[in-house]
Amino acid sequence: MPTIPPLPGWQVESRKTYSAENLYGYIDGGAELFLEFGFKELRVIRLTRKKAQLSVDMYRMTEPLAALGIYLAKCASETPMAGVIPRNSGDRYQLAVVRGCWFIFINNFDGNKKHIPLMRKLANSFTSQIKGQALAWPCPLPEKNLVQGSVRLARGPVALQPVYTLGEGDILLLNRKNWAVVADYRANGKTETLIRVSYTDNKSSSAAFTSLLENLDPYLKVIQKDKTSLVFQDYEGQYGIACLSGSLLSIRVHVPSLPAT
Amino acid sequence: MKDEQAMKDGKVNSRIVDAMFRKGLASLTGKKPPEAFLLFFEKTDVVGIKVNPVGSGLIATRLEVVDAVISWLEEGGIPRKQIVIWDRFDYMLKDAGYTEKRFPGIRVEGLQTMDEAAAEGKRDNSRWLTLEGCHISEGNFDKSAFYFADVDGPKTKPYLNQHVFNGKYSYFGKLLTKELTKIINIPVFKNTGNGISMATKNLGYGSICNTGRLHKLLFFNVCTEVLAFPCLRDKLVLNITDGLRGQFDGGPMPVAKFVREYNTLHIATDPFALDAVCHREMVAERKRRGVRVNEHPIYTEYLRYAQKLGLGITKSESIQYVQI
Repeated sequence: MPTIPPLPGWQVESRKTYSAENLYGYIDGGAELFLEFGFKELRVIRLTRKKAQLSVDMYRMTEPLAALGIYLAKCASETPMAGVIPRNSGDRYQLAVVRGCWFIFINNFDGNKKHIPLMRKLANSFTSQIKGQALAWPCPLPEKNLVQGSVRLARGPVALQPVYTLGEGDILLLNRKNWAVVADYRANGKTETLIRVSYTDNKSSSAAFTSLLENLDPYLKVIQKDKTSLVFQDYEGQYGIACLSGSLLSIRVHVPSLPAT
Repeated sequence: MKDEQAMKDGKVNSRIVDAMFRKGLASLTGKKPPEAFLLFFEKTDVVGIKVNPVGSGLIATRLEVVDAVISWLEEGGIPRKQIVIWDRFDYMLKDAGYTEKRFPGIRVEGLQTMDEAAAEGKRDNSRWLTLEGCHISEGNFDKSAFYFADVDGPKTKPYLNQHVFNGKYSYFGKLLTKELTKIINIPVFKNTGNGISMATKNLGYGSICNTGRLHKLLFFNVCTEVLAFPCLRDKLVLNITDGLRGQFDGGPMPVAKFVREYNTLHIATDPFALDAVCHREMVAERKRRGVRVNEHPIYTEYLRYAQKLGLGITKSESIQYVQI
């Protein structure tokens, strides 16, 4: 557990710990995403100095990819803060940091710029106590036309919610175990999204493709399907194309028009 | 109502907020505030103000908005002792600044308590669990008024500590069924995933216990179905979405990065119409701010469901939306 560095003038007002069972008590309605990625515990430390208040929310996840997945889901486009060493994104109100199995929020409730050096100090101090490691995406992504900073991870339906609705529940059978990688691709002024899952074996990917065919969202109209591909049109008139290739399932959505062939 | 001067650098100008509220009320009712009061209340009413204290310090209902409402109620002749500021959890109200010291003469009441230290495993369960194995807040809920859903919550003590009951019944607070005669709903302007957590969620999830079991499977439907109960439907007279700050992503948990001064108040009598308008506004704002948003119809299905049940109006062409 990373410890707090000496902070002259600041006092620790409270320390709280949340487990998977009561995480809901801290983030009403928001716990599911953490649980889906793989959550171990949350430590919340409130710091005060006169009327100023900061809090540090330290989420310990089950593995580094789970911490990275949460970080990417929470920070949207990354805006690194100068002087913060680990991977981070933030502003004067909140700094999100990821390293190893830890995802950390440092909240500066009133947004007072005077506290930015303290946020920086906390982030650097905490993460200097955590072992980091370089991570590769869990499955390969094409580089061409990739929108930088658009890559996200998912391990279940909650993380996929902001991306696209293919059907109810865990339609891609991620089971909090298989990783999906999501990325945007931009060409000719149009952006489409690729969802790609690398399953452990061909049997699992086939089962996921069958689940997709059988449980496809009723708002999506099937145009064509066979044993390894599916084409559908969505409620906005755009297209989706799913392809099964060995243990890899790739789904392109928001496709503006279908290829001629 | 929009006024860029209402909140600046985290500081609220209460005079401007009060003026916004009164202007909005006049526009909504076509009457000046004292006459508008008579449309909604009698002097004998016991008025409950439902706030959203989650995200205290960042995105909870601003005290200044509640001040404006209380001041209007008092001018109309409702004594302070007949006004109750409430939410489901007492400790959240306190954290957000809703104390009897800050609002003298007004009751500040959580439907339930929760022992945070016990939830964290730092203390035994004796402060919230009776010898009979019941939650001490059990008596605050009315067993004759319940929302039934065929979904079970975990049969664990942490769940019971937080939700008062296990099982398939979510009881309404007695405050709602026995005491309040009118309700004013003051949610905040924030998202929950691809949807919003505003007027209907503030009431739907704030009026009953044992809600943890409902999020995953029924989520937005709860916002419609709970509001159909007479203890809410017949008493709810006004909804004010506090958008002095707005949260455009990361919700419902407070995420400062996505919280910005937005300087709006949305006022409506119909919570479903209000949410329909605010949902569209939220989507437009998210796109403008470059936030990824999934516009699947499922995230607004509960609003169409409400219209089908005759609980509110949600078709945009049927809603009169006045921007000031």
